[in-house]
Amino acid sequence: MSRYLHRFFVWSAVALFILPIVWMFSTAFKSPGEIFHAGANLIPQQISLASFQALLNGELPILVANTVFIALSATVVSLCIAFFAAYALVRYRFPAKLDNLFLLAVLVVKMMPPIVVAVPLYSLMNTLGLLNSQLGLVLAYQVYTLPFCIWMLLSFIRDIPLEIEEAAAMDGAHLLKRLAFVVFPLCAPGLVATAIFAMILGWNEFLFSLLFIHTPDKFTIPLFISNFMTEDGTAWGELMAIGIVSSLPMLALAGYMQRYLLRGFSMGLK
Amino acid sequence: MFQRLLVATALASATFCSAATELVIAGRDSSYGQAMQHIVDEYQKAHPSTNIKLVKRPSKGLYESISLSMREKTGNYDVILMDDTWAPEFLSNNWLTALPKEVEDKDFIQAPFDIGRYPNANSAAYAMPMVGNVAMFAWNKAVFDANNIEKPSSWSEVLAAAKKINANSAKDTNGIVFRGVKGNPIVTGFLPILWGYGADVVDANGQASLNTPEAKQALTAFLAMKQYAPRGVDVYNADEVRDSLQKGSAAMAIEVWPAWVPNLDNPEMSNVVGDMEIMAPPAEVGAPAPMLGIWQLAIPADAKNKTEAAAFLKFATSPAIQKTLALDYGIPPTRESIYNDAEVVSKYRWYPQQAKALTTGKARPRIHNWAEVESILGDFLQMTMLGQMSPEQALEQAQRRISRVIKV
Repeated sequence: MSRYLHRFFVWSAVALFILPIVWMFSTAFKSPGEIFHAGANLIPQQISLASFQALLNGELPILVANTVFIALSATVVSLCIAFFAAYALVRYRFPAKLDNLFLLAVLVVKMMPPIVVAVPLYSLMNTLGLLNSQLGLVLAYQVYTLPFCIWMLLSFIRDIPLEIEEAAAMDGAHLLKRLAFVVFPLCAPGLVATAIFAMILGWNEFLFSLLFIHTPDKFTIPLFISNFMTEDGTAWGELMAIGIVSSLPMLALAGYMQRYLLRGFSMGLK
Repeated sequence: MFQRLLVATALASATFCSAATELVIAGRDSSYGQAMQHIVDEYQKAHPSTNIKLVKRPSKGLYESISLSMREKTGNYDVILMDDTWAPEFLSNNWLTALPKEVEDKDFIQAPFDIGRYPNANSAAYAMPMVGNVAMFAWNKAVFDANNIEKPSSWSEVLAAAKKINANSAKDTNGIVFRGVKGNPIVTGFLPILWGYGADVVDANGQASLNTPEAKQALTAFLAMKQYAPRGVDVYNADEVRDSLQKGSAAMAIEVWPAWVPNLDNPEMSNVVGDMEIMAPPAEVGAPAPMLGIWQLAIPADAKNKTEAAAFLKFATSPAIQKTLALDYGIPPTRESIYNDAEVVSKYRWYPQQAKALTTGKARPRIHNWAEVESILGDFLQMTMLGQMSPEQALEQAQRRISRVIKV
């Protein structure tokens, strides 16, 4: 009995998570008429690509390229800084618990509503001449991605036994060598897992790109998606179609990196 | 030889300078975006040397984007599209440029044009009305006739009609519908009733004035309407209101905007072709005060190309463009001549009523932070609607909170 109950709960939980995705695919492949006039049927009466065709207006490849470039650059910058920051926070002792204070400050920045930091950041970007530039956006995204990467890498680096590093040091490896040949390889699964999540953060970012970019050819995917939900109504077909299209690169990346991701998770949970 | 080279260089640089004329326009998405794209395309045809960039933003993002840009004097935009409620903040901060006298035209309906003047209705114009939005009241004449009810002229009559229709009609037909989502939707749904009872959010001195017997009467009437509205009206927004009217499942709507109604007479989209009437909202005391929701075009003080921007504004609000926007995009005009145009009126039979409503229209309070005030009022309205507090408590607490934040 308990086994059936267990199965029932498992399948209910699976259905709960899968249903919105099934709904997204189903609506994306319905014809515009069916979306509005038919009932809430999950399976389209007739498969239609009209919603996908509506997306092919020439802008989409540029927007995908912009988003990939910005999210990838923001992730690389974050990982580089966060790796060294997390290592220092784990291995060094700071006076007056400054390390804890720093981590708390980082967490506070992460927890702040983005609009609070958007105004001073806008001012800063304007002064530096980085408004409406991809570099400006990559730097602005650090507000989201850097605190996340520092906190996530912290646990991965903490799990690397100090003895391995000490052995390398006794063999004459200086700090940078130890970081490059000992810490980095051991931390690689964690770095991959962190990179994927940071990439997703950058991929989905909306507010900063809305405020800092004002040239349509530099827009990112989330700005494009917002066009389908307007005061005049919601273009459900196109919205679901762009939902699928914009999820694909992230799904492909996560799928490719899955084994690292799982190893990363298992390391992080130790 | 040297002279020739000099002349050639001068010509080349002159050509380069004229080719470099650029106009960056911050506009909106949806039908407003399509309409603006049409204007840009037409202007481009007439001025091929101008390089025009249209940046389409969602309504909310547009405010943040243009206000930050003007605050930081980035010079990013030469022309901006703005809601009239943003104007007090923009104007008091000197973020907009006064427009040349030539852009003024007697053909513009006065009330929408005058809200672009600063500091008073006799001063210079800083913005031109592009979209003549005005909140109207919709009622289904066929349903009213079937129930032997006269056209309502007060909110009490609206309530009585809703009650009768609900009692006499099928289960899926409701007496009335409105937007109940918190924030801007529920406030704009409530304001016509509040004004109709002679109350207001802010008095003439810029102080919060919600804690009054008139406001309480208005809120009580508003809450009473919920029992004759569809189930779940607390989460209704523009889409649901429009669908209810088009499907014929609601006989009245407290507040409809011109962009919601073009399909009421479209047999492919509507079950109530020819049945719906649109008029200025009723008033319990005094004359009706339809709410203006004008979208204006303005030139930021930090714009890089003000002369061309002024020319664009004049072009965008010209009679020919306004007529095309009305006919092809359903954008309500701001010129008298378009409302009297036979071709336009034959497409939108309620335009004469709409023009009358625009003439007597009332703008929302001219305070700097209307969005903040609206958000506070919206929260309390929805709490009352959900039965979490009494109308007295809601008005008293809204009054207290609004008094603390209001900026005149």
